[in-house]
Amino acid sequence: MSIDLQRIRLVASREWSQRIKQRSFLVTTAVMMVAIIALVLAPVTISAILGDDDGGSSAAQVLVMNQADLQDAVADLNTFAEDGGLDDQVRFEESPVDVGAEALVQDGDADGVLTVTRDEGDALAFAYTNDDGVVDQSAALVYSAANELTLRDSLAQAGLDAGQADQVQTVAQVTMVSAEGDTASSDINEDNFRYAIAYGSALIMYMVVLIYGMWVSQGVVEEKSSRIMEIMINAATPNELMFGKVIGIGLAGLTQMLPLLIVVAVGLLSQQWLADTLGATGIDFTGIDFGAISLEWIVYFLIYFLLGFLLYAALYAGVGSLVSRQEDVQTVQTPMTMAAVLGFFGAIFTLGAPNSTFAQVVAIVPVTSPMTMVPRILLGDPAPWEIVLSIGLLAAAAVFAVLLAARIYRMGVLMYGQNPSLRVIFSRDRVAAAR
Amino acid sequence: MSLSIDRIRKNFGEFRAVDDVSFEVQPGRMFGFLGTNGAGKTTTMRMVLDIIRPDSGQITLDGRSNQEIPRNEFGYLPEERGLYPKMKVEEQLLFLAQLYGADKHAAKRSLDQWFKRLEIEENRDKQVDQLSKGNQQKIQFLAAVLHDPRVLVLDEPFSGLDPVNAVQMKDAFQDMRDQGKIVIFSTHQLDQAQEMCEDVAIIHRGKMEITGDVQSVRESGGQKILRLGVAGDSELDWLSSHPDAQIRHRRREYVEMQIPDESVAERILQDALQRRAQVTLYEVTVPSLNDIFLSEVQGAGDSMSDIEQNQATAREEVLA
Repeated sequence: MSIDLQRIRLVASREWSQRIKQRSFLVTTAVMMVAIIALVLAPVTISAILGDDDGGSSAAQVLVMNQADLQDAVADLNTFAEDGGLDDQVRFEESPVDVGAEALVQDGDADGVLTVTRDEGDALAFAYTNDDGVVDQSAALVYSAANELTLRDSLAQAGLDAGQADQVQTVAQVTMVSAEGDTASSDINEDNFRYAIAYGSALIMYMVVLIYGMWVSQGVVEEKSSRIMEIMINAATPNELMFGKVIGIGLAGLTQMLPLLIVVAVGLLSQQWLADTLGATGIDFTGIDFGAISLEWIVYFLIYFLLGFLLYAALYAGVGSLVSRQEDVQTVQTPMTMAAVLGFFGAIFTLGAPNSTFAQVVAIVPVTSPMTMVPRILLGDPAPWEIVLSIGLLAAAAVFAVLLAARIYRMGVLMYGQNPSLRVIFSRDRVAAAR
Repeated sequence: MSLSIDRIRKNFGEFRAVDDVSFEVQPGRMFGFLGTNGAGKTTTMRMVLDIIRPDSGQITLDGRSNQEIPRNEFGYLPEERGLYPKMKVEEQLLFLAQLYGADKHAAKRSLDQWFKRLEIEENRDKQVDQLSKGNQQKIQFLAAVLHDPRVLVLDEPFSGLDPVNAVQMKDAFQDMRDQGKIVIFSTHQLDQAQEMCEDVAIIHRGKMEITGDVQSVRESGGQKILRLGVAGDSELDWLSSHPDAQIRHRRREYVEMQIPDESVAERILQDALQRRAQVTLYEVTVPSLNDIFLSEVQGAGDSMSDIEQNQATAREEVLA
């Protein structure tokens, strides 16, 4: 069995150029591009729009009526807010008047008024007035700041000075630990982004397998039903034709995917700039390394894209060669479609529990790993050997699929109208291309 | 240089498609491969092209196995015509020529000449599915010859061609032959084969019935054909007194019969003259390929046109 690279190149380039010239290809690419741009822009845009409701600042303004002669009450409250990282949500100011909290709120001079008094036992007492008397987010923040203030006041009354009081009040350092065993990132924003990218990757990979795989088998059937296969098979060997077709369609797929990947990467890298430009102050990107995320993601995505596509496309080519009419393609594709659906469900499960045993397994099994490993890498904590094993198995499976498909292809390309059965495929003496 | 097919055999499961077939094709001599559908013609041709391999036997070109011969030495016009329907004619032909290993510029020059000769210049940039059937056939033929092969294998090249296009194609084939190429074509239109071929082979149910140059094949039965026309009598019932003469057809103008030799013809003519018949036609000839074919592949009963009718029906069933 000799392979002529020149002929593979010819078949592949014909396949590629015919595909990307199709109107449906251009339309699909454009639609996907618009959808991806919308998804990338959505978070900052929404944040910018919501932020604008508050006149550009989302921090609640709270006036403090100090009726307890408490020293530095406003400064302390603001310090607590800053320490808790909440100063962008609530800001305390000295009230210009001592009475009439309701009027201040109703006139819109403040989002809320905090009145500080002392009860009979000389303990601090607080009253918080806001629009509707309901405990909202700013009320909760005010409550915890007031709590701090009360504690400090009690300590001072007990004879501790400010320095000692600070020591007592040192906030416990609690690191969030996931029960799955890894150290969860404490930054909610980065998790959200990783989740979104992981979900997007799984969805794209699923579509890649189904759509481009279908292109492969439909392309094979097209050549059979239009009977050009007879000439092709005389000019080139079945293996050359199959490799050329798979490579050509793979390149067409990459041609469709690469602009999308670049848009996503650029979109991620320019989030901060976008947020500043759009005035979305309510969104915080501190601590998110977009560069690292997009690089890690693109590298793994491309590896799994190429190997996963090769695995599925070879199988699609093999089964495509068994039928001679487009109507029959759907039926023979079923096993691959099922495998892809399984992979996608595996990916959805992985999104929820990236370190579960199930997620570990589906990220290693070749037919599902193209869809599940990228989410697992982004969200979970796979050991290096798992990634190596997963890629190695996928590569081996792809090679095996190519060899198997080549064999089926040699049998199938000149088979018309026969019922494809395993016995027919593997028996030696059926109609079969020799080369 | 010649193409030699030596005792090839091919089974598909239980079905013996080709059984011990041998023949030889010389360059510069048109070779007709004759047989009904399912006789094994296409299978044999595919084996010549090394698309499928025989279970036993050998196919050699100049003594070299066809499995070692580069692909660009072979051109193939398959019985089932096929091209990419949505691809432009020129683009498609250049792609196929290159797939055969031809140089793109040489193929382009040859394409320009062929387009002029076959009068399809204006179809260059059209999609194949926009062409008429006859023009599609011409494109299909170009797909087989553009890479300048030494061996040309044409499976039913005349089916579906109108008379004008058929003449153009016939001229093109004969040109190929005159250039010293090995040309082998299959057909069941035997008058065409008789007119065009130097050599023929008749295959039936996978078995070789007869092969050789056209004249010797026609004389092989040792029989002659007599056509006798008598004014005012299309039945010639008195022929029943000549048991040597087997009547094949009764036409309006004449009666055609098969006779062992010319002396029988002379006796019949004398008989006719004695009966004071006004003889309008008296012709003694060797049987046509059609006659030979019929006597080789079947007993009396169905004629060639019946067989063609069956094939047409079968084809419609496949398409439906």
